[in-house]
Amino acid sequence: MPNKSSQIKATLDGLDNQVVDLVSNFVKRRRKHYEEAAARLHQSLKNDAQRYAEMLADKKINQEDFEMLIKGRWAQLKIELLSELSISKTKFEDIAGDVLKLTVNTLLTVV
Amino acid sequence: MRTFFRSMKPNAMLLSIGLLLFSVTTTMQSCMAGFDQIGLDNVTNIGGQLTQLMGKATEPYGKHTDSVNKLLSDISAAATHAAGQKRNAEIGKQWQVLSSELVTPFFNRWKEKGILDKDYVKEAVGQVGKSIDAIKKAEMAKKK
Repeated sequence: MPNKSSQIKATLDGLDNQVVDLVSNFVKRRRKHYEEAAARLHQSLKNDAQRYAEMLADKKINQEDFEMLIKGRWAQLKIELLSELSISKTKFEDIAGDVLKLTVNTLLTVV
Repeated sequence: MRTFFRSMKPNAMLLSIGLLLFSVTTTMQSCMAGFDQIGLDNVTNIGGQLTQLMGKATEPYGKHTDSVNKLLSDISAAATHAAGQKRNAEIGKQWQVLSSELVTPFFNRWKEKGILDKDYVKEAVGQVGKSIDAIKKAEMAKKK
């Protein structure tokens, strides 16, 4: 039995590197995702602001419409960023779940 | 504590580890933002009605006063629901921004002007539609 205990301890210690790999791969993936998401949102914001400016220049909308649209577009950006934040938390909980699953499964094979 | 664990028999120690893992799993689940069917229904139903009603802002506001008031009340209830959910601060904030920075200023302006220009309305509807899509995306990302 003392053998079993030391085997369990050794197995759990052996998980350290795998856990570090799981987390660092997740962070790398999400970092790339956020860089792409930020670039996409910024490009979309620029396109919209340019379109509003052209509409104002063409007198399709007035100054007040233009200001309202710019304020609205800013609010839309905030909502889109909050969405990314909310989803990232869910994804982070996924990785925490994976770490726990790995630990439990590894323990079960030893026990 | 170390003496306590040393004094335990291996089976008791395994049982303790099992209980510890079980409690960690249960605690983690209770901390996670769970799937919220009411939240998803709110964003789906209100989203459709909202963009449809905003699209009518080229007509006199007086014709739609009741619908506007009803929708503002529904949005307020949805925001309260979202804010009351555990670990749902971002979605709660999304509803708050949608209500106070997009929808209310639009309806106030419609009320003040009577009718709004179609080009402005089209763009404003697009902004609200995309904001609704973003809230829906966040709701759908939650685990069932």
